[in-house]
Amino acid sequence: MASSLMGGVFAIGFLIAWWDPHPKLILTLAIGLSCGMLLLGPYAAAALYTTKLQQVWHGHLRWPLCLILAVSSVVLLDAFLHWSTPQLVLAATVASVGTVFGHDASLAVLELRGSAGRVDPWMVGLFPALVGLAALAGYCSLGFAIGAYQVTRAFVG
Amino acid sequence: MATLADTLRHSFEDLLLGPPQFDPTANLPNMVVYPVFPTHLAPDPPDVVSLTEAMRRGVRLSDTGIVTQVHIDNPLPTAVLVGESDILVGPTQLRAVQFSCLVPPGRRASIPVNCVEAGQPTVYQAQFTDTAACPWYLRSFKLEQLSRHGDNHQHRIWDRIKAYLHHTGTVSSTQDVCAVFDQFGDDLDDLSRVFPLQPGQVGCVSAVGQDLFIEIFGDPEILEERYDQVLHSALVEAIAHPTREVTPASQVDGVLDELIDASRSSKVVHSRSLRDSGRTQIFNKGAIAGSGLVSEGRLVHLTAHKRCWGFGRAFHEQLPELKHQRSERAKEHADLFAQLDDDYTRRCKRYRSFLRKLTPSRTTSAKPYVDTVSKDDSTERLATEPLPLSNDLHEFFLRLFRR
Repeated sequence: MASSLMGGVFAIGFLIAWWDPHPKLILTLAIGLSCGMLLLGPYAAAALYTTKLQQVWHGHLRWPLCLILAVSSVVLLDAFLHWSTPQLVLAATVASVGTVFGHDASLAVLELRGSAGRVDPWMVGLFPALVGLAALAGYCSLGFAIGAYQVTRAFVG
Repeated sequence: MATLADTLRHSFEDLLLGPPQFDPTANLPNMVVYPVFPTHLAPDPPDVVSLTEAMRRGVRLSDTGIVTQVHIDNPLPTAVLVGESDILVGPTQLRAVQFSCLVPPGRRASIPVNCVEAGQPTVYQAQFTDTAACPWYLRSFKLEQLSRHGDNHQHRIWDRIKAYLHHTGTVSSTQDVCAVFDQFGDDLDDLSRVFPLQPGQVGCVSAVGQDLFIEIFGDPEILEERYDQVLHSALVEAIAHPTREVTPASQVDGVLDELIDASRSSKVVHSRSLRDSGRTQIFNKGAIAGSGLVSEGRLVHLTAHKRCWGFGRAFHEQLPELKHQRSERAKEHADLFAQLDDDYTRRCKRYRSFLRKLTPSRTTSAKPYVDTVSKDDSTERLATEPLPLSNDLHEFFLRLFRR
């Protein structure tokens, strides 16, 4: 699943480079995913379970609460940074996905710490960063491919 | 206090693997059983009885109306071994015991269980009348869940059973895991004869396809009482998932040492009301997950599962080697087996006499005892237990973040 996820993020980065090469969108994607996983997801998990809100509505409340948390954070940032509509939509989407990932990743870490399993701290810290870097790699690969094509074409004449 | 690894090392020093049992006609090419024998037997039989035997002699098990708890009332003057994943059968929802435990003489207690029949409601105060085997497919999943998370997630067990019944083509209107034994009942009866219990045998390592299922008891009498369940829980896997491959003997030979190694990082689990009677520890390392019940420094019951994926070899390729091993081991330990036969016959007489004298020392209570502290605690725990947004995602991160 890790390779599929990385491949998917890489492909999205590539498509963004194709669609709008301005770095603001790709940075939104990379930073949104990484921050969603590293900050919003753990925060959502902590907020949900310390306030015991998951008891409400047979536990189904955790999905809307996670999404509201992610989207409201993006809207709050937008109030300061004044993003364009595509950037705002992209930021809300990736922050929501990142929050869902970060939430379940946080629970996995807590379970591993609470049981006989040992947590790999490097993987916990690096995985969210690697997901963001995969998006950047996809973005850069289009430029690299075009550059390589131009160089080859210049040599060949 | 000795660790589980120390107890296992001490216990395994006196154990050896016997001649492999297999079907030479290759009707069952994906199962080989290696019986486990002690190198000597103590003269005294155990003062413990299995749950099946105890139920015949007055032990009552009743439904508390709580999915994760069953009440046990032991009026006998001896301890009762409730085995990991024993399935409790009665006119109520079927339950599988979470982990092995010892119920002390004269004790009323609640034992932790999981529901293995999602479509059947609980019936308060209904009596469980019998025990049955649990397929290793579910047992190994439960062991892994317990060792990883310290608890079994009920919804995952139901999902697992549903998938299992679907894969094996078993139809059950109530999603009853035992329906698989009805589905393959004739084959189970026929093929059980290939793997007879040997005198003095205390356990077995069953190689089924690319898995090893290990079950060892402290005393041969307890294995004898439970052998049908032990065998059926592995055999049903071989029948339900037919392949031409089986794990080779090279993977089996070192498995006891691997269990000792895996048990170094173990975790104690206990029922609140049985905290003072034996200690159950669960462990998980690499491809091994298991649990061991230790009482007074002695191993009472060990169950473990080892995945040997990628190591399976065609049965027909291994057949000459297996035949050679069978004759070599039988020849090498011929004196020991003869001695075990004599010793076990003597012990059995004493054990049967002990069983005959076993009568309830009091009448059993009609009303199920509910461990109220545990009930409140479990309700609170369930209510506040973090739930993942996606089970698949959660499993993915558990695998990714485990060192």
